[in-house]
Amino acid sequence: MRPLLLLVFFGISFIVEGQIADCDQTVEGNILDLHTNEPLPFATIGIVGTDVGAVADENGRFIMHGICEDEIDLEVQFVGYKTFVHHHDFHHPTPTIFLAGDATVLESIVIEEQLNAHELETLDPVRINVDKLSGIGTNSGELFSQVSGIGTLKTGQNIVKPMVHGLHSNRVLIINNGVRHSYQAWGNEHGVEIDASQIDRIRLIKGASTVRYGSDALGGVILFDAPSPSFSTAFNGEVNGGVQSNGRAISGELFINEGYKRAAWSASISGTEQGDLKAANYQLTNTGKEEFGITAGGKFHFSAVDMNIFISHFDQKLGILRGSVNGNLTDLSQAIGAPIPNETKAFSYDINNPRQETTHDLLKIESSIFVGEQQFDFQYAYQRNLRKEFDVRRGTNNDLPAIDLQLQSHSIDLDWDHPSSGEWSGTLGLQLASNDNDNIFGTNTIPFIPNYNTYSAGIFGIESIKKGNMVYEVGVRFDLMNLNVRGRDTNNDIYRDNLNYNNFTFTFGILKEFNENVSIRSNVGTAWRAPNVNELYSFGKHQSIIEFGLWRYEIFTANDSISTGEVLTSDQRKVKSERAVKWITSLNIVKDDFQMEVTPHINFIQNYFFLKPNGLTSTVRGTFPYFIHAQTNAVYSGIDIDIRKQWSSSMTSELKSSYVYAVDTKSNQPFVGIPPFNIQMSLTKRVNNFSIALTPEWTARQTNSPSVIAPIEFESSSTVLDDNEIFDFMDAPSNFFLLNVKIGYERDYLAVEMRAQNLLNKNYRNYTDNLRYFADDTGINVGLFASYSF
Amino acid sequence: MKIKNYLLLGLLITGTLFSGCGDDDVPGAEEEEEIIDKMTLTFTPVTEGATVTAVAFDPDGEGVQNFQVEEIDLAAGTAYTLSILLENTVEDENISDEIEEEDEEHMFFFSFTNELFSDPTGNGNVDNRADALNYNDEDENTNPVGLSTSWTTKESTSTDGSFRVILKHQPNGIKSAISTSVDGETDIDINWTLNVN
Repeated sequence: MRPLLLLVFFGISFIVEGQIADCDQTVEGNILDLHTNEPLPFATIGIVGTDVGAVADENGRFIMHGICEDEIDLEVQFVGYKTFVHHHDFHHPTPTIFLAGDATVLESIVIEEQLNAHELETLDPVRINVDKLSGIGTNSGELFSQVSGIGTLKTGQNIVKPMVHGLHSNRVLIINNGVRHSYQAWGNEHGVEIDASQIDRIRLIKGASTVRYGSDALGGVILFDAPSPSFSTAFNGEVNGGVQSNGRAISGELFINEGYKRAAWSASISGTEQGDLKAANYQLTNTGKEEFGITAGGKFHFSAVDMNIFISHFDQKLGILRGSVNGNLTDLSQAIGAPIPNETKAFSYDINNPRQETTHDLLKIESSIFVGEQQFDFQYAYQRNLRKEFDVRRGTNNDLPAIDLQLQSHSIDLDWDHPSSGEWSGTLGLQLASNDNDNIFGTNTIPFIPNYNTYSAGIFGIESIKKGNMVYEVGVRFDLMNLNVRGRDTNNDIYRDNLNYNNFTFTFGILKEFNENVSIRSNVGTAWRAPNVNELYSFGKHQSIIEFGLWRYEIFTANDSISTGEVLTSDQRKVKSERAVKWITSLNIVKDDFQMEVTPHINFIQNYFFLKPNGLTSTVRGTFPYFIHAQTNAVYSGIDIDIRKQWSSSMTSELKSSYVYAVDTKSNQPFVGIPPFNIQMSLTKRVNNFSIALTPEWTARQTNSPSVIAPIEFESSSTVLDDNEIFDFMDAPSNFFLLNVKIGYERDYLAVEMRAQNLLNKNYRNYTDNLRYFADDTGINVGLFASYSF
Repeated sequence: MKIKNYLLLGLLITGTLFSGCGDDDVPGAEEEEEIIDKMTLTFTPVTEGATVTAVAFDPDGEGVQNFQVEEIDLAAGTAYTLSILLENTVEDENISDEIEEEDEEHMFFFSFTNELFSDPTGNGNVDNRADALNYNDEDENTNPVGLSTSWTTKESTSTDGSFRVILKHQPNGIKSAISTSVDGETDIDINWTLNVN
């Protein structure tokens, strides 16, 4: 355990070591076109203030040896592109420089590999660079859902969360600016609460990377990064704005940045105001939203120390379709059959109940210290997440939230990258976190989930060895978690529990490059997550169903009866953590202007938490089926295919497709809400300053779906519920075809873009949208966006 | 297990660091104002005879136990005034009073076995708002409420008739002279068995 202690002391009393300037430094990197990601062959690179320079090879790759200084300014030039100066230091050895064309408003960017990027090499993330216009007037979900295998679980357009290979919520981990995003992940209708206009880069990891990122990453990990301030730039900034026809939305963002040699800062402010959206044939009443976000960041750089400070604040007020409110199954049945949703009214910007008001605050302080070839990273983060949910209630209770939660989190991450010795390189890390979840008094209803605190600690080590054209990677992690719960039962009596979980997780992967065209990555990773409080303690009606957490019911097999009178404890019923083994392989073929990636995956999940129908109960509102939280085993498997072809220097086409198959292996039944097969094409053509992209997409009907019991059937006393049969209230929606078009124009400091979604104004419903029972998805939306840089 | 000890130490440190020792706050005791767990129908004869009451009671709120509904036994050929009492027994709250205060957004609908009553005739106004029903109360917009209604049983006896009471919450102007039993959200939907002796 020496290194760990060393690491801790290191953080407390660090003395900067001087470095001796030998002329033995090397810099190598890649130069690519910002738009097409194509290499820029024979670009020239020079070190400012010297005669030293180099010319890139035909693959845009350059290398310079014998550099004496620890830090240099690299000047990159290429005909037709903006000359770009990049301040380089040797802790970030392989910069990838994306040059922006002369005529474009975009600025060139550099992506630097850190000495150790801390990513698993055998789980290569899908990287998305979000250009300034696509982040405007949208939600973070729209930004990543264009990647095959990644979808969204929605509650209308405003509430969106990521789905990786069919898994979502507590099974997909979100890392926001390097910090494990702490929000009320458990609810299907709890969005991600990250401002899309603050996102600059997205990395999507489709494998189980628990070893690296901690528990919950069963399906995958999504990492969002905000723009980082740039050094050595005069005061500059950009103003982005847009209007959209659907919802009559207006959005704006201002970003400013200033950088000196050793310090830089940036700040942004953004907002959106949107009214009721419209489906193809009718208004979607109460689907407006208001968003407001601010960020500020500072960056400091010294010869052996980097420091980063980032704060952000994001407010959301989100309307939920009025027609989705229902009191009982007769209401639900009526709502499903209604030709237009109930209570549909003329367009309005008003946001009434049901609605959600959320706030997310983040403060992050991060520091990297370089000692020779070693790197120490320290990160502290504080997050505060507030969530108020307003339901349609009686009288003055309408002004009170029915759910009012405050979640505060602190985390400390320490990473140590040991000096690479020969073919070995690796990271050792420690993560400490605490969460404090409190119900805010004054909801006039007994809290759905209890107050709780979690303390967790995880320690991991990842090693990789390079042998010829093979990379082997192995990692192990040990997690400890303490969960302390205090809640109230239906009689307002207090229940408590104190739970401890610990788990080992492993990862093993290989990367083999057969030749310069073909490579294969394969990774087997385990993952785990502790049961969430809602899976243990939820009680009562939630939307159209009645549910009971694992410790809120008792089944007596002797007389086949169930009781929900008592709150159980961990001694009375053991609840095991969910554990998964995910195997993902991706075959990559790159040949000239052709690129293909095929990614099959399979995920075995043990003790899989799910809602199991268990019978019928009559209430004051009539008869309801009730569900119990239970555990089973599940398999999720599927395949993603991505094909990209560059037809000419101005024309590119891309084809993406994914399929997921999921089954409860104990009862051999499908689950509700598994994303159906979908296929998406995109064709992009550039002419001078113009570009046009045509994106048709087709989504199949999900045929691997559970049987259907219409809500009306529960009214008849003859309906018997097989308590092992998973069912849905409605058939999976039909297949649909959508056409999206994007036309862009860029010149000097100005970029303008027109985006049309669902251009054919098709009426359709999405199987992974919780509102599919009540209304069609949105119809045509035409948006006009502009960006001006200064 | 050495590694575990270090991590436990880490846990301890984070615990103390981040929250101060012993964060042990329990959620405040909220008044559960949403629940209606008891409904009492009181049929008072207009002229003479015995008052009939029938109670529907939920023994465990949203728990799994079924709502217990008593049968209604009315005398044949008798005119009754029906008053409805709704209660939240957990908080000892009279929900009928709340409904009365907000009568402009609440309305009771009734359906029953066809021709169970001589007045109103028919099968009630759940399927068709315009059907006959004798409301004794109205809201500020002169729309009926239904906390008090009038009924006259038929001369002939019958058993196992059905008598369904639905309370609809119709806020924000949904309630009108033509709003029906499918508008708004259902607060109550109980099926009673009604015998005429």
